[in-house]
Amino acid sequence: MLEPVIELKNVWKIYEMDKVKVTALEDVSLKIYKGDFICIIGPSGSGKSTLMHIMGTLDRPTKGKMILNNKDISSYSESELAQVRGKEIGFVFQQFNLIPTLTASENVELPMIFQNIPGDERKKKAKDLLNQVGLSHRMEHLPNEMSGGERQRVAIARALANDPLVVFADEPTGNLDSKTGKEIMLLLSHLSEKHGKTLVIVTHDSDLAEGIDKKIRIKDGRIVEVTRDGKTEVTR
Amino acid sequence: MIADYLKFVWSGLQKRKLRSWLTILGILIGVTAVIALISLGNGMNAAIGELFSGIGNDKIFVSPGGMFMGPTGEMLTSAKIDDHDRELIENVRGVEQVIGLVTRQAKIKFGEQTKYASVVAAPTDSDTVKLLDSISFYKVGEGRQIKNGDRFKADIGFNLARDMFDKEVQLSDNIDIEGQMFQVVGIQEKSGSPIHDNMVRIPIDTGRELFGIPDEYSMFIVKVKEGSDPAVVAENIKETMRDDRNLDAGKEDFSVELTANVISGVGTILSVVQIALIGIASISIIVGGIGIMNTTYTSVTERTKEIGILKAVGAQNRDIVIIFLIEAGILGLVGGALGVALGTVLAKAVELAAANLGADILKAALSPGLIIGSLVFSFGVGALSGVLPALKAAKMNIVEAISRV
Repeated sequence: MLEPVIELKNVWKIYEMDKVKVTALEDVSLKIYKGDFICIIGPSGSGKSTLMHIMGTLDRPTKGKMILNNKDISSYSESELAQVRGKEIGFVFQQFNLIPTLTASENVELPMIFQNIPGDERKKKAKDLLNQVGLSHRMEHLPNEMSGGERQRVAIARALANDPLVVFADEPTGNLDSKTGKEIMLLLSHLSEKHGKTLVIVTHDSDLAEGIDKKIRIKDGRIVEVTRDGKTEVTR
Repeated sequence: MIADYLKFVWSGLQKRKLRSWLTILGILIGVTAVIALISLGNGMNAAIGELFSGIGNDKIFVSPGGMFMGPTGEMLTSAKIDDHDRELIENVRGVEQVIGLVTRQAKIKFGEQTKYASVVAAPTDSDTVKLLDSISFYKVGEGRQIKNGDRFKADIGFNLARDMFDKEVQLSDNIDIEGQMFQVVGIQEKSGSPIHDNMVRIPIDTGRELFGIPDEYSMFIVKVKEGSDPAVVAENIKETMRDDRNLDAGKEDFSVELTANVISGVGTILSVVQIALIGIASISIIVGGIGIMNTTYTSVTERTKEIGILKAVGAQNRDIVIIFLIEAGILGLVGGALGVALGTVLAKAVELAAANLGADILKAALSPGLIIGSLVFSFGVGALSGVLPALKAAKMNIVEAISRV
């Protein structure tokens, strides 16, 4: 039996804003296995980003358990979470989220700095990763000297820097034209497969989800449908 | 690790160059002032120490009046010291030699010019001459000391010879003191003391006649016997004179001072002034610190998204705090370094200006300790000012931070 990399057990996320409670996630349970390529689909405001934030340890559930690699991290301290996040999770964001004052290579090195990886090793790894995303000619360029597609490639290289268990991509093609978007999706899936990574894509775009073997549809903070290889497994 | 943080911090500072420089300016001004004040103050203390070390620690000065004003200072007092006191002091245990001097301000004419200067009338016996020549204020560099048998001969100070009159006063020239012509037989070495470098020394008998002072002295220079403690001897002199005058302790109408006391007395006054000035300058460093705090807060707000990104890629709160402390510390350190440089220039400029005015004994004293201390202090002020902004940065919610546009 496969062990899940991520398991959510009855997770709730409730935001309190000016005494008004907003339920972003309502009793969500799911399992993601090693090597999965999953798409979380839902309209804006459905809670898909909140779900990604909790699975990516950027946020904590209000109730319920978040288990990463067999460890219940719901009760981890902030610094423990930061360590786990840095080591086991990679992010690719819609806004690229590169540090504008650092070069492509330095941006890729960044996650490794916080894991205390020595400088020469970091440089070697960053070079190798930028090579793999086809940016060997852009190593010393600043983000604002690169196109959107190139920036997202840097972000992908950065997400893989610490050899994480899971890579989360939040609307990774949202700021790109459709051709570049397709290239980025291809690169993401190709690299995840090559490195044996679990890849979770979050999007509102059903077209993007096409061809992805596993889909989780979310609406109003609840999982409404789980599909694997065209077969719907859960519906509610 | 720290080097990597530095790179991150530096790239940010570079991006906000103008604001960074303005912030640095705040610290720079304060440190400049403190460095200049401390180095000049120390230099002044050193100069005074050097000045008085030329007198020697085995000297005691006795003068009429309640307060000592300096070796040629005059007192507005009715109290007098005379030959009776001189004999008393000569008989105090530990006293080797007593020289009585008479000093007056007098009109000096050379060529067509008339100036005022201190005239010291001193004994000319060989023992006195020997002692005077051992004191830097009275040492003759060119020519000779006035000696027994001289009537209208004079030794003159270095600056008086060189600078006081349009024409330089040379050996064998005649100068007019209060209507009486004196021949210059010696020019004193430069002592660094403006009073002594601008004085005239004449034989005491001539001086008494000239000024109409038959028996009083302006001061005694007492040489203590080798092996005797000058402090003890000074106390004994005080007691002897007090008893002779029937005065209570603390009510003396004369003063007895050690060389060391003179130095520390002047030094204390200088230190108080210096501390007050440094205190004022330090306020500007604190204001500079507040400037750093303000800038760092702005930087934290501006870099909110970047803070979110750093946390998303694994930075712990601790890392974020360190990064912003370094940023604030660097602003302080750069300000401090530039302040040290500018303060040094300022102190050297004052030193040069003072030398032009004749006080070339003043040297700005910049110790490595002062420089390192200033750098550490300004880094500390910067880092301390960065504490609150850095904590704010670390506490930021990642999701909110990262979704900033």
